[in-house]
Amino acid sequence: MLSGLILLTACKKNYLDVAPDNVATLANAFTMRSEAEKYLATCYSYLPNDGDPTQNIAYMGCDEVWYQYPSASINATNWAVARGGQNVTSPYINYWDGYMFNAIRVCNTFLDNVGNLSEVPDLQIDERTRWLGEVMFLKAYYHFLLFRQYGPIPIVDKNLPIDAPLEETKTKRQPADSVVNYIANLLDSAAARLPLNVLSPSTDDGHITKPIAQSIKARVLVYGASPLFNGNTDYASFKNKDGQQLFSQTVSVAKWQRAADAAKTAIATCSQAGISLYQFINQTGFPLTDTTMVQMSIRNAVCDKWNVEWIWGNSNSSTYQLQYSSMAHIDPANAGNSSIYGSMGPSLAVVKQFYSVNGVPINEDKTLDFSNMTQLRTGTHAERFNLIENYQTARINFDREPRFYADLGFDGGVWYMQNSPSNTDDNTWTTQLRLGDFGAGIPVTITTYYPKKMVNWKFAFLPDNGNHVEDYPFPNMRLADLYLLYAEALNEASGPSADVYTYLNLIRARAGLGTVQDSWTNFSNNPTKYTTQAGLRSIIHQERDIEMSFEGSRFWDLRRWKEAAQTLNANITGWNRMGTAQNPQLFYTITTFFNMQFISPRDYLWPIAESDLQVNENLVQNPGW
Amino acid sequence: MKVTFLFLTVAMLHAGAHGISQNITLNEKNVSIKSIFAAIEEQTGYVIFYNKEHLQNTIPVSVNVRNMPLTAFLDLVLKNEPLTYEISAKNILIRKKSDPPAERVRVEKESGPLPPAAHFVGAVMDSASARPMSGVSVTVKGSLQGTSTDRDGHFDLDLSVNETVLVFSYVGYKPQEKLVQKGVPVSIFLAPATDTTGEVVVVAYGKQKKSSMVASITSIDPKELKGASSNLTTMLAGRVAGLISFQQSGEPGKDNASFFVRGVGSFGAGKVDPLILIDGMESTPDDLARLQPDDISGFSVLKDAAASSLYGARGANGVILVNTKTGVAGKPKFNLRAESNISTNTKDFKFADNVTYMNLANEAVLTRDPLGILPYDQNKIDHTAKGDDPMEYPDNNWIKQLIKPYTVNEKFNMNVGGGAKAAQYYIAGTYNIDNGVLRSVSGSGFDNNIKLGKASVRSNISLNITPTTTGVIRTSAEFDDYHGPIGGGGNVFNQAVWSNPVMFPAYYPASDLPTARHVLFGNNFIPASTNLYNNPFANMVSGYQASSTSTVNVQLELTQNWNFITPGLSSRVMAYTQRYSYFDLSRNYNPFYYTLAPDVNGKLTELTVLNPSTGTEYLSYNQGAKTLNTTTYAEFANNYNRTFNKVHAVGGMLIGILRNYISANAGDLQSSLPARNLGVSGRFTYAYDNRYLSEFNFGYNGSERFAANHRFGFFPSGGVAWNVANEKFFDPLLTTITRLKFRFTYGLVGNDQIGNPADRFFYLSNVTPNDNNRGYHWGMSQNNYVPGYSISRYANNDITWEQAQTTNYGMDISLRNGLDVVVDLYHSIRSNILMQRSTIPASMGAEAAIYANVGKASTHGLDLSLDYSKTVNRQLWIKARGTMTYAASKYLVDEEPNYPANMRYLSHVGNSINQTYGLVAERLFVDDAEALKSPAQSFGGANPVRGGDIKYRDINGDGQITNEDMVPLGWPTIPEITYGFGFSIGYKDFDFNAFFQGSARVSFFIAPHDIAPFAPNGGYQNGLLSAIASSHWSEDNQNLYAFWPRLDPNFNNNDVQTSSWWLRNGSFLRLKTAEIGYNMPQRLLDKMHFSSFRIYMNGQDLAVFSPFKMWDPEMGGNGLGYPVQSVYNFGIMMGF
Repeated sequence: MLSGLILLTACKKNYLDVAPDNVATLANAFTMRSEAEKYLATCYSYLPNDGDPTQNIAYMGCDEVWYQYPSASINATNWAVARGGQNVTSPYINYWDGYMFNAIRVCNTFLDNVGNLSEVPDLQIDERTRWLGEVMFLKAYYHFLLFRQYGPIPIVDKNLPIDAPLEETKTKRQPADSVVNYIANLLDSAAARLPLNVLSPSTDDGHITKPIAQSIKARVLVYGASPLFNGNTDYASFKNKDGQQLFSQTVSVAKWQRAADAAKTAIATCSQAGISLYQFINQTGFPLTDTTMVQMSIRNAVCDKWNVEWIWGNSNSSTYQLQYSSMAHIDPANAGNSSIYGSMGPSLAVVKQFYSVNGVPINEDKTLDFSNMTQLRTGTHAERFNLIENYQTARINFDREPRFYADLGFDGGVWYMQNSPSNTDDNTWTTQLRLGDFGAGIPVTITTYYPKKMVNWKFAFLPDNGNHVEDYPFPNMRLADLYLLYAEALNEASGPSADVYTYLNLIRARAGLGTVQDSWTNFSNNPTKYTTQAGLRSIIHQERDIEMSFEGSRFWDLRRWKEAAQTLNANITGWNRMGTAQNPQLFYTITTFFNMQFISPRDYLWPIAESDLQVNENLVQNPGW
Repeated sequence: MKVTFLFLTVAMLHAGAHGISQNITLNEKNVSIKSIFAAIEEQTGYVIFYNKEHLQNTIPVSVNVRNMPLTAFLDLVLKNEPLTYEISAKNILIRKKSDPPAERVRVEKESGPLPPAAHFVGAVMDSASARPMSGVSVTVKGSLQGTSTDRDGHFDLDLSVNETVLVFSYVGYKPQEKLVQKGVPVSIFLAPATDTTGEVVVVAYGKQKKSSMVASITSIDPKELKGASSNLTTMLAGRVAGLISFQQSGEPGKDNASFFVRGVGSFGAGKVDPLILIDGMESTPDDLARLQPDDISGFSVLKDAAASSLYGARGANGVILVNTKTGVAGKPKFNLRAESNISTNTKDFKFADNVTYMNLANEAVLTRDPLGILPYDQNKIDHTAKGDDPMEYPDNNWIKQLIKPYTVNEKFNMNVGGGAKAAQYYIAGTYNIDNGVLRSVSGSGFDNNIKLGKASVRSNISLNITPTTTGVIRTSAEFDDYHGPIGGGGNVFNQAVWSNPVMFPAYYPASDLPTARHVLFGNNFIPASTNLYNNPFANMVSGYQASSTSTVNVQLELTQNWNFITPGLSSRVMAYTQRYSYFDLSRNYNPFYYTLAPDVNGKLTELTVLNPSTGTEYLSYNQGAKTLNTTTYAEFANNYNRTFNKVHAVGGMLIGILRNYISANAGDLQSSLPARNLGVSGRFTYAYDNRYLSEFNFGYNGSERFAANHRFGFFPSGGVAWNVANEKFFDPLLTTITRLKFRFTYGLVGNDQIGNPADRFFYLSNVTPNDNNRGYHWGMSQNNYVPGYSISRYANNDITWEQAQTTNYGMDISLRNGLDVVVDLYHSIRSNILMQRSTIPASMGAEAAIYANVGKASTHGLDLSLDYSKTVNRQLWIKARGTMTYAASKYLVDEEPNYPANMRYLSHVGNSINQTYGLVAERLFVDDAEALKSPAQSFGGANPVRGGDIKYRDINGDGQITNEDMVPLGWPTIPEITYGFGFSIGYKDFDFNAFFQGSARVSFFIAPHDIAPFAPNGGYQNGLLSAIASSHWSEDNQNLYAFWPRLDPNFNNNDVQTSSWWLRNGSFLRLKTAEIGYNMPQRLLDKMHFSSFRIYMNGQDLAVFSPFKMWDPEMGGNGLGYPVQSVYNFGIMMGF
């Protein structure tokens, strides 16, 4: 009768213990250096791939570029943000529920373990310190990405255990200033542990260095000092449930000064590290005109990978999608090549932003008249490095600064590439986009403009629907950006000063323009504009818009400047791509694609998904959502 | 004078033996006449009736004969004995030589003159077939006087009374008593003992007499499960009280019905369907689906804790037990069944015509964007309407082009049973061919239609190894060979809806391009793109996939009777191994697509290939999945059953089990580890005088899934029952109520198959150390790649099984007039349900979901079955049967946020587990202005909500429509009521039966995304259902309650939200089966040397009654899949 029981006791001990002792657990990650390096990679892996326009909201959320609706070639889900579809049910680019807090948890786990000298015994102290610095940076950066979208966020400095009591896990949001201070301090700690340069660029490019930490700190502080976060009275009643004020209600100029100081420090460190503004060196073996040389300096400062101007490239990112989306049909022999998307069309608003050839805004230029921008004009021989000779195009495409021709592809434009059929910039690739022209194959962007800037000059069409894309990592930070941040912060902190002009002019010089002082004095109908803080602010904002165009900056800048409510309540316009080669008048009619709406102050900050608010009663929603 | 007695018990014991051998072979020395008689009975199947006293004076004999005829043999052995014999039908009557020979047994008084003998005559027939039954014992109630029926079923009895009560009995049949009067012939119809008190029911690890059962167990006559389709699971709904069941697809191989014992009791991600044991072997629903009713001897569903707690942590979802037949000693008995059937869709969805399609496609564009580009020009529409050139102006109805109106299937089943005293066998083989209803194209060298060949063999051998030891070897194997279109048949139906009907023909005639050696499939570029459309015809015929499944089971069972130690004690060892293997592969070519291109004159005449570089003429080969797994199992049981002093019935069982399962293609380390179970279970029963019954059961078992401290669980249950009808005081009522029993049980059962199967080891964390999704590239060329770590589960030592605590109240009642009723009421609380901790804020940053045993739910319901049988006269009998299963569930504890008071409706607590939540659709918006000023509905992202779009109700009043406005909608998506009723009528040699089955209290949602017309989705572009064409909001006809909202050339995210707009009542009633049959009468059978012969026609799923008309309502939201099939079947069964 008891045999059943005997059977059981005989087997009970081991029979159900089927799991071997050495199954992988998290502790494995910190047993030796090679495993810890994998965990380091894990900490990095959460960096967003900003080179993918479908994931980078700056490409899908504002008026800088516009797409065809419905979009056949790329996944335009997130474009709903630009089109007014943001919502609380399932927010677009939902970093809150997405990966950002996971990323922070992973970083904390790394810091807890690698920070403990008894873990990872074969990790040397130098490398250990460096890695700790890198992960401190990442932890700060992930906080920043959340802050940029949501404003006040919970700070997760220490991980809670997975089985922590529910009440403890229900953290509340911290005031914007506390978040900025926390991130800035953490970046200081990171910078103190980081080297000037990576040890071996061939294997280490992409690791965080001291210039990266310091320049991101400058960016963070500029955000914190910007009008959206600095004494924004729109948020006077935005409080935690316990009454804690989440936005400071008095403007603090000291915040700008702190940002300017941080930028200045970063600039000094960059210079120590050998980071400088990029200048193109012609190694093609064929002569290029100065016009093209300047344009190539502008283009390659972004697209030439790991060039001297880059402070931080995300080595895990890819710009394939971006380049496919930005490329136009420039090669008549491959006009039917459908391997490109032709999806990203810069809007006329952005096209108009670029300065005139005199380096001033087109509506301020007292020597050139841009009032009738659709008027047709024919390209001359002298203009043949920018515009097709004897080809009719609109007035607005003439007499523009080098960055216009470097950054934009347009009907009648010249598009120099490394594989220029003439080997030089004379008689090179062009874009002819009117219906019936070779460039109007499938498909032309909706505005008919192209963000040429983002396409590396080594892109080539190949037969049989093929192509060569010269991939480059997305530059998360480059020196021009840092200079502009410095100039902006300094002007805000203490008004126009020599340093402000110096750094603006460095950028303008590389772009083939005269100094701010010369350009305005000689060509602007508002010649003293640069001498006042407000005037210079407007100059700096426009300079930034132009210099950083199509690099994912405008979306955030318009928000932190609190300018989005004016700028983004407007029609999105472009040319009419149904206009034929024979009918340029039709082509050059201003066509409205969308009436963009920006609801203030709601749209300045992201909505938190309503499900998050249900789960954590201590969270408050952002105003307006 | 002595009274002649018949020892009827002997007769009854042997009446089951069959065989018509007339010859005897025997070589024995000095054996008793008694053993000679036994030998005769064994070899011939004849039954010998004799009086024990008569044998006292016999002398042993020695014989050595070979194939001697029976009569000669009897003459030989009885030559020197004081006995003589008489043969009647299959009975041999032994008399004293001195007795006068008689046609029948005389009944004599011991002394005195004989009173005038009264003649009692009649006939006995089988109630089902109305065929005469020979060898039925006919006794006078309360005495041992009697006779047995002859070969025509007649009996003739002389008694000295005018009226008496006769008892008619036969093994396997319900005994019947009848008051008879002398000289008045009676017709007796004996019914098979399916639900008599003597019936034996399959229970956990054994069998139990139904009369002594306490637990709630539905057992069903396997014949009830015979249907026209070849899938047993489709026959369960409505026939088995306690099962909620429904079938959502009719695709061969994927047509298993879902079935749940007493509904779904848990909302965890784990197992909710019952444990299936076939001959004690754990089996899959597919195994059950392949079983032939011919081979089943017992089918039980264990419903309450007392029935299933022996299965401990595996029994909480109920258990289905099936036993297969074993052989019966005797000459081989063959049964053959061959059927051929026609299978057709119960319902096809209907498309609008293509002129309407194009007109409405244009309307869809214009209604959203007045400046939009029209997809179809008037010229194309006009030509399509005229139908003057179907190549240039294609006009496809994909359903008609892809789907045949019907298909033909074949089924063969054969079994043979027999054996001798030492060994008996039952061998069965089945081969069914199920074909799909897809069209094929000639000339492709292969058939893309679905063809599923299902073969199974079964061999059950019973051995009497020693007088006290028996063994059974059961070997069974199932083999499925499938051949069908790539992606399956359901996908073909889906594509029929999801494909543009007018942009290309299915194919161009081969004569259009005689040089091409391939099919000229039609296609076209999607406007403004270089992508081709989806040609569903090309997809269907351009390749096929094939799969092969084998399951082999070998089982050995040994039973040792320990009666020589103490009566009633026995032991049993059973072990089996099960090997499963599966593989699939596909072969296809890439179709060449053509379109008509303009010739020099601009006319569309020339065929141009659209994909010259990607089309192929040859087949490619793709390897598919290969699945291999093995189960081994052993159990060791001790049984004890004994009745003391005739009233104390004591029973006990103790069993130990051991199970091991390994899978060959686990995918990761943790899944590759064996799944194991180990346990001891016991059952103890005590019954007093068959009036008061009690039972205690337990399971103590564990599985490898949990941490050591939670590995073993104890699951006790108990019950009591009262057989009221056996009480003295009840006797007066016995004339109307023959059976009345009350039952009560209570106990615990567990479910260890919780959570996702991949998350088996909750006490271990699951870390992927080289996860490429969490790695990073460094370096100038971005090629210094380092993979990362990811966590897919955090370790949790506290996770353990679900537990069900079930209370059952039952009542069995049988009325004299033939009505049997079984009612069970139950209430069950399922606790420790594993669920994701959804209340942990995102800011915790947990990489993997965190789980805990926090959920709790209850189920309650009612199982009812009614049986009625009535034999009207010798020609006519009627049976009726009905069941109803009601099972409702309720969330008791759900891991959910603390909803504020005004949003309590979001809480699942108190609602059914299968309740769907959705928005309340009020109507369609009148116009854009109304949409603008109504609460914001931002589901459509940036697309504005307009007039004719669905208007939702702002439940929480926050001025916007979000998920917070979702309320419980309709009934649960799994029916709360499954019911069935039917009847059988037999008249002479014909019989007819029909069975209706239905579901009630069930809702489903139309999936609007699947039928949204015109919406492009890759190469797919949805067709237009006629329901939408005839009822949609349009600017001309602003019907605010139209079936479909304002048309949209794209998916309209506002309108496809889960909402009451798409809610439909899923209840239905269907004519599930109907059958008409003819049984050959006995005299013809004898002439043709058959033991049985039946021709029949039957049908399954013949008609459905439902408020929903678009597709078969049983398919629910899956309505665009492979429809449930109506099957019309013709069959022949013969036995010999």
